[in-house]
Amino acid sequence: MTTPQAPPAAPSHIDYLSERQGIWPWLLTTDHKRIGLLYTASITGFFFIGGFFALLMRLHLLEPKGALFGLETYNKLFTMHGIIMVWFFLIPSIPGTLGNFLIPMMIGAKDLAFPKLNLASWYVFMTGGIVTLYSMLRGGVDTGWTFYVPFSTTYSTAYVAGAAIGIFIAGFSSIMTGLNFIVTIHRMRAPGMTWFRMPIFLWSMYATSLVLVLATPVLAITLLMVIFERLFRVGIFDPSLGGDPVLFQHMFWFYSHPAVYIMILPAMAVISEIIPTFSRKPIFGYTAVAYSSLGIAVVGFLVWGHHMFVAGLSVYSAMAFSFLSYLVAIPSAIKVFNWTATMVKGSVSWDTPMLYAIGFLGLFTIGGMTGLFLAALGIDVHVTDTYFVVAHFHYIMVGGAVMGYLGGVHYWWPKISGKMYPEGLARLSALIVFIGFNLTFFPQFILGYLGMPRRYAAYPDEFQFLHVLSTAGATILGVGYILPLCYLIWSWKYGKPAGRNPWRATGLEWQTSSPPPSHNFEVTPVCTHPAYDFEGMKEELELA
Amino acid sequence: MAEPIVRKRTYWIVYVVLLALTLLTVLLGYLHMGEFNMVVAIAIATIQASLIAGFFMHALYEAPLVRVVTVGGVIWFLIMMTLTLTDYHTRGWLPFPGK
Ligand SMILES: [Cu+2]
Repeated sequence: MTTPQAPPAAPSHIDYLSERQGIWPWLLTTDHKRIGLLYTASITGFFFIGGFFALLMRLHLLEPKGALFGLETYNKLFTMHGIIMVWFFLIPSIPGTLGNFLIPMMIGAKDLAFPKLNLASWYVFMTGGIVTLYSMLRGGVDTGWTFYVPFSTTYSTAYVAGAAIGIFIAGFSSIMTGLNFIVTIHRMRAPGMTWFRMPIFLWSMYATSLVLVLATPVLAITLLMVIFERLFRVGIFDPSLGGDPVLFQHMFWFYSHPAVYIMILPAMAVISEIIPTFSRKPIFGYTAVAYSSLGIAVVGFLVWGHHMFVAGLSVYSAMAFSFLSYLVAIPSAIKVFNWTATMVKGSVSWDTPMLYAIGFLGLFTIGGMTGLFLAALGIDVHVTDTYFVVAHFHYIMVGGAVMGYLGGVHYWWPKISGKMYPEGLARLSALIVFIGFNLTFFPQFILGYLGMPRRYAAYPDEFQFLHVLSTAGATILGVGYILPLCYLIWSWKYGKPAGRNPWRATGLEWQTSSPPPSHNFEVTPVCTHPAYDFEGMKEELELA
Repeated sequence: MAEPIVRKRTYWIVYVVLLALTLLTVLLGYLHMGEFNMVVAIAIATIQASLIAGFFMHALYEAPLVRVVTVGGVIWFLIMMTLTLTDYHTRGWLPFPGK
């Protein structure tokens, strides 16, 4: 006797958040979206630890002789702030969170090319983070995040080797992530998703991944050499052992200048998605914007000497590096002009992600232009190692990278959580971030130009007014960062359901439900439009 | 991807060439050519490294993209060396101490 076949199971509509609950399904997941959230939780933790150190420093600097700490403690504070913010927040920030979440969805794939490698990268990252945090708790590091020799190899009595080993370990997670993204973008694109139909986000993440893979090994080797010289007196950097101290700076900055692009290219990726959506126009000059990411990635490797103009670099070499540093401004400027041109005659709306994007445009431009000051040999001699440099790179890393990250988190939050955040409060906190940021760092340009050196725990009386302004700004900025944390967590539970495509955006990630099912799409999508085809997709977008 | 079939003979020939190049390096070490001793030694070592990567590590038999990646790594290494040497080799060109 035959029994009638059971009807085929209806396609499951369970989303990636409500499927398999509990701690192990999360800690052992290979779903790129869940791994993205693991990264989000971890880097948020690191961000607030690093931010706490920054706040302590700013409070200390309220008084000219220093209000709170001894000199050694101050050295440890700025070192730990730098190490945590650079390697445990900025480098993994957008790639680890939004990159992980979005790359497969944007190309119409079910997951990254190597899901298990992706999970491994998170564990490796956390191992590195814990080792570094542990050596901080054991007594801290006082070398500055740059680990310059001979202080780091010979004179420092702090836990240099421990912190360096933590960063060394975390570097492998960078390489795994970069490799995974490169292979995914090459191999996993949905039918119809040609290279030049890809959203610009993917071009930028691809360029970032190239830098991650090409630069990180050099940092690993450099830190290893520091550790070897420190522990075993192997002569690499110490002249009395036959080494050369400037060699450290060459190798360190061969990684660390491109690392700036590891931080800023992903923010540019985010901005390139937000601006077209909220201007209802395709991005201006798609090809130029796409190639400029690769241009930044390549030329970014040729400029590291600008960190060494007063470090004994030869004059002719300095001239070459100065010229090349000016060159890297070209692809960055292409992007800024093209984003601006995208808004021209667009139907611009001022939702929260767009506020962050506009903030990014202004702050990144200031950060980039002051970078040109620093690339000029004459001016650099005057402002090297002053607050001018500190202000410059915070305009890039906080005004650029963090604004991009926050803009991206708000833009894709409806997709990630399935919920809307409170728009009014979000706009207000975007404004608070912008004001707090400028109040913190603009005075530092002036301080630096007047001669305030970086990494000093005390200063002359006449600098106090500007220092107090900066500290006031930092507290406002702190509020601006805590607010989104609160209302985003709140909206996770209580927010209004977002629907599939609240921004009427064009990317494939918006064509699936929010939050998406575990395998992203019920059927493999076929890409039939160029990127940002608001005209061509008009009907589909109205229905969404 | 199927493993490429390489004849054993090829490996032996490459091996002998590598040994010969090593011998050449040693012999050239006895000639006094000034700065060119280093140039020649590095040139020979580069040829040896390429033979190893190409034949023993199968870089020559891989898909085009893998070859691009391999060559890219080498180019990036050369970027690091070249720009670092622009510093070390132009020091002392100006008549001031330390410049
Ligand atoms: Cu730089």
